Amino acid sequence: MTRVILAITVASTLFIGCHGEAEDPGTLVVNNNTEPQTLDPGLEKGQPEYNVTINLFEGLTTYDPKDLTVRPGMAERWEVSADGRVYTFHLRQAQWSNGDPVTARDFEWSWKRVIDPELASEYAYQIYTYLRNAKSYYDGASADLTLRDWSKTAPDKKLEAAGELPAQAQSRHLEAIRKALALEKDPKLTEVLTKAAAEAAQRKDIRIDEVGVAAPDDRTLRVTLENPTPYFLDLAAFFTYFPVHRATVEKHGKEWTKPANLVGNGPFRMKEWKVKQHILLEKNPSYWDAARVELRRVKLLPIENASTAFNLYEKGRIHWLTDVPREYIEELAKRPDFHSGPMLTTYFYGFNVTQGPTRDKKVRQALSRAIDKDKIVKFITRAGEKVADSLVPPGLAGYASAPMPKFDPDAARKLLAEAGYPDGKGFPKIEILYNTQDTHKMIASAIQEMWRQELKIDVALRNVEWKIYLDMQSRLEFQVVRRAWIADYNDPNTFLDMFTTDGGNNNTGFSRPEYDRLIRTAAQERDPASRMKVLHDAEAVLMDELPIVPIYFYVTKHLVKPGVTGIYDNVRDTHPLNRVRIGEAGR
Amino acid sequence: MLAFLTKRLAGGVLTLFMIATLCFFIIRFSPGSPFTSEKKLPPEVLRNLERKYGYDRPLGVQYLLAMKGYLTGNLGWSIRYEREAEELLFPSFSTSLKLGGLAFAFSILFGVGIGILAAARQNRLPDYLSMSFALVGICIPNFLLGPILVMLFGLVLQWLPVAGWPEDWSWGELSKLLLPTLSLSLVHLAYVSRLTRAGMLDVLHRDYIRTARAKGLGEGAVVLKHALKNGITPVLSYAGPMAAYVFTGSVVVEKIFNIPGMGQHFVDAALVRDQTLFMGAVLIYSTLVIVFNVLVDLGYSMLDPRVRLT
Repeated sequence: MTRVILAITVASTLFIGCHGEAEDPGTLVVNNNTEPQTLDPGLEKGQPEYNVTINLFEGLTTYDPKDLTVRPGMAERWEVSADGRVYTFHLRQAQWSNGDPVTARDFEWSWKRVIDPELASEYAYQIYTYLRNAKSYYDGASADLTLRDWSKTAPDKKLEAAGELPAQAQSRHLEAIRKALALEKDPKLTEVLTKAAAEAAQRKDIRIDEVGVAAPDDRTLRVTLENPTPYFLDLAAFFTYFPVHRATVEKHGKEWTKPANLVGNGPFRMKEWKVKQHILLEKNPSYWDAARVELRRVKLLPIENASTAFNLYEKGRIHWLTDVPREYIEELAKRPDFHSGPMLTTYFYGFNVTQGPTRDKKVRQALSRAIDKDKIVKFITRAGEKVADSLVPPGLAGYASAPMPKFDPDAARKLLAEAGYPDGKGFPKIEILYNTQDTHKMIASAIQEMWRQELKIDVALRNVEWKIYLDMQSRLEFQVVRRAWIADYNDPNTFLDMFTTDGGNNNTGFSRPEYDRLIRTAAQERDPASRMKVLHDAEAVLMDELPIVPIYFYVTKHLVKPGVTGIYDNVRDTHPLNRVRIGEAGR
Repeated sequence: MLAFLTKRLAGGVLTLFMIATLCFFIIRFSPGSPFTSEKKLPPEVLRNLERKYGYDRPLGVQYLLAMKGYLTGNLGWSIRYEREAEELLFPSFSTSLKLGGLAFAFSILFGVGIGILAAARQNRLPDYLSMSFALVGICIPNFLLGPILVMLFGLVLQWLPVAGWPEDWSWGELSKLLLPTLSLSLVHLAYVSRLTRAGMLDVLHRDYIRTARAKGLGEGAVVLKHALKNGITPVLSYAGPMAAYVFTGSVVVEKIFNIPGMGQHFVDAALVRDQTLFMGAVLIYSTLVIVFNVLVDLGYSMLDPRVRLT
């Protein structure tokens, strides 16, 4: 018995010893708001993942933490061809965290990995949209898989897959399509397959080595683009373009991001990953710029409840919160440790342009002009959000947005009368759809009341759970819907190309040939100033037609302990930690 | 006894099978899929994703494959977390078990204790005090109790940590368990104390207790040796559902205290339609409930010889 007690005493003393180490003053503790889904740059798709991988990997370029301007990363310099299509990157001498050199071949392999349909990367389009021949390669390789699995595929899925085939098939698929054709009896299916066969015969094969990325030597990467893309250097810093360590990925397969396996080239390396508890990163001594990295460790917590995280912050267990409890926002906004800045994110309402009263442009204009957005930012969001009169937020260099007309209830009533509903008479009852969340609910109720009072129309609210909301939105099963959009890159195009006829996230049914033409023209335009002018014209069309009505621009909401420096409010809330320091006051 | 166990085991397996089948089809027929996201995927990317996770196969084939996996002890690959579902569920389940176990033990020990005290001192101060306390405990839901406890003991008095799960055996870390355990167990503790009090009062007026007192036994021996065994049968019938509740129903407490338990996986998996993770969690929970029901039946037969296990 005495021995047991002794053992326990010794053990607990040892643990208390460890406990002190966790308070290491060189460790930055930050709440990442949720558990990341994956740390594979080729598969990741959101902020919680990016907040980790931005520290573990580095692309050809990187972002300046202050304003996200592009800085040299793995590439120390680059040249762009006169037509804006060929980028030649010259890589610096850099190492992976296991000591291997980072080469141009790593980049080539990593990018081609993302556009391999077997990986099924959700962000594959971030690469295949831009690189020369990449889309044709992706399509052809996807058709390879569709035809390979043809006999195992469910009948309903066959029809979906075959629907893609006419756009994808290349001459090598001809025989497999004919074989499939011989097996199928369904008339719809045979029709598309016949069409696919005809297309396949016309189209030449695009192989992986024709994709526009090549490494002539270890330190040179030549990238050929489909269109001149003025924001390509910005994209090159984005996570989908991060390099991964080929030998590690090939050796460990799906398990390569486990802490014991993960090899990266960023300022930090993986130390520990306890699911739903924390991710611990430590400084990577092999990083090329390690001399200037101040933090010894970074601990990322997955706390989803904003109040819980706030309590820990107040107790000094967390240095930095990127979200704060909504209930206390007014009091918090007055504190010196609260930091806020504009974001490239717009909160807006979408109308169904294909059915019901909102088919009528005048109705959409009336509804839009009856929303008093000032009240929404002043009484509901309350963190300093700015009223949005355009879809594209301010702060994009060289771009002047095209605003919609301001709040004007009289004009709104007049427009509604012109649409055939004087004083709201005869206007059918409409419904606002939103996903279940307090702020969305408050805003929807406010707008419901504004429309009732100003336009005398009957408005219902409907909240549904997230996945159902997405489903209804993409099927256009709504009259009015709450939405938001976060910029993928610093360019108005990230907002505007959404509303082309075939835009995957259009979700309004809006389709104007004139608008589509403007967006296409902008993609081809070489001169930055005239390109911005074309995009402005496109936004002017959007703000006149109003398939969506912008409501407000988001702001970042950070709490940072005094003494912690090197964290800046920036427009995409993206935070490289290379220059972060914990001063005396933060310890 | 053996026949009883075999029968219950067979019944349990059948129940699990039916639950698994039902849940598989419920999650597959609910609107939205694991692949719907705010940024809609290009159709060619969606096809490839569906193929990667076998969603392009006929539903019947997918169902059989899932069932085959469960028979061979393989829960499958979580679509949301890009990991084996076991890797996520087993550690979090063990966390939930620890928290639930603590809350269970806490409710029974203190609940029965308070109940006995109240019954032995019926209609006197200890009775009134503990029963008012119980009433309060039953009335405050844990999503309210948790934050109140955090505010009081964590932020105002600064006695205890406000959130987290112990990472070692030091007092500083272990003290993280106190508030979540209390939040999870208070309502059960309250019920148990009331049930114990009622059960004990009922028994204390029976003839055999009078006999025990008549033969000169001390009050302590009468209550603890003779009355308790029969007095807590109502607690036992409550213990089964309660165990199921504290082991599985800790989602709210997990959220408030940021505890890496299975409840959050369960809810999140359902919301994001991660079929493998959801099914895995359902199967683990169901197994737990089935096992507890068997244990409660065994407990009855031990406390009351009139109960036959058939």
